[in-house]
Amino acid sequence: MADTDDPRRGYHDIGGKDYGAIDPEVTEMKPWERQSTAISNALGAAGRHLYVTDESRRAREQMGEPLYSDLDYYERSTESMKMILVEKGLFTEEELETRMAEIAQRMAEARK
Amino acid sequence: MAEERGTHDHDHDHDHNHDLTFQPNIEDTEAGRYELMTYAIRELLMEKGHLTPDELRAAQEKVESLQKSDGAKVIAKAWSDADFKQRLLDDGNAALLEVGVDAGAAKMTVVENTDDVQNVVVCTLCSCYPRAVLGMPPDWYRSKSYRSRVVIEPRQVLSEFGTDVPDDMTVRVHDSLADLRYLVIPRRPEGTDGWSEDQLAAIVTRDTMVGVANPTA
Repeated sequence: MADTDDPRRGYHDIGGKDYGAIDPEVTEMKPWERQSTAISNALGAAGRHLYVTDESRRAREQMGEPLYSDLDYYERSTESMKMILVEKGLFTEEELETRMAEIAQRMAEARK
Repeated sequence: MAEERGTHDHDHDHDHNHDLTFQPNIEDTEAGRYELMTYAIRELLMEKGHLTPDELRAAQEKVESLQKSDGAKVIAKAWSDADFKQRLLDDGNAALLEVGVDAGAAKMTVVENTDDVQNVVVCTLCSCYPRAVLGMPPDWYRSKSYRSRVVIEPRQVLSEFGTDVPDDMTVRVHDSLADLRYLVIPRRPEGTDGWSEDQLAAIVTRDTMVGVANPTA
């Protein structure tokens, strides 16, 4: 979890490091990224509080360095949301994986 | 410069319903793990009664409605109305509400570029961003390169954005948090006396409100 140079530093805490050149290209948000953001916002909406900002922060800091580094921004937010919703018992990992496989199948059918 | 390089390579009519389907006719490539996960989460939440289609649609329209042009209008008003600018600097959330922008629960701190100070915004821990006024953060703002480097070598990073800051000008880098966001009021360029708010808003780009660029007349 911790930084190799400074064990007090979490892997998400990258201020002051050097990750190289900044790519200035700006890409359009993909539909699924927008949808993931919308689901997350809807769950966090006032009165619902099924998924709030602090939980999303905690999940990012808990998912582990390999996953954190591997995923891009919207993948991380989706992973974080999934972690918290599973933790709260809204659905299980197994249910989710099964449903993902079903959807992949449906999408493959639709592409034919 | 990083402003406005959309790579929207397909035409569609922004019918909101398109995100509720899998649109295989548009996205011909196989869905990735997190795309599938998003659709699966949506289905399970709806089946179990945790989310209704109306709630999702409303949230989706809200995400789509967040525009950096809202920020530009706020800046143009601040340039034109010194009292409003002062209220923005004193209490960003309250002043934004005056112009119909609900910045949400996070504190919105507004900082002003002057002849002596250039402010720059980052979120080193994540990518916290004043979405209510600027929309979703651009790729570079979310990149590890920007997040890691702008706090330690801001002048170098700004120069990579084409913004050269004189040696005698102070650069202040503001590191955002989940509960604290920043918006920069850029320096109003010379040659804009007498301009209308619409004219002014047109020269206020996203990058100038993050502080990595400065507007020009």
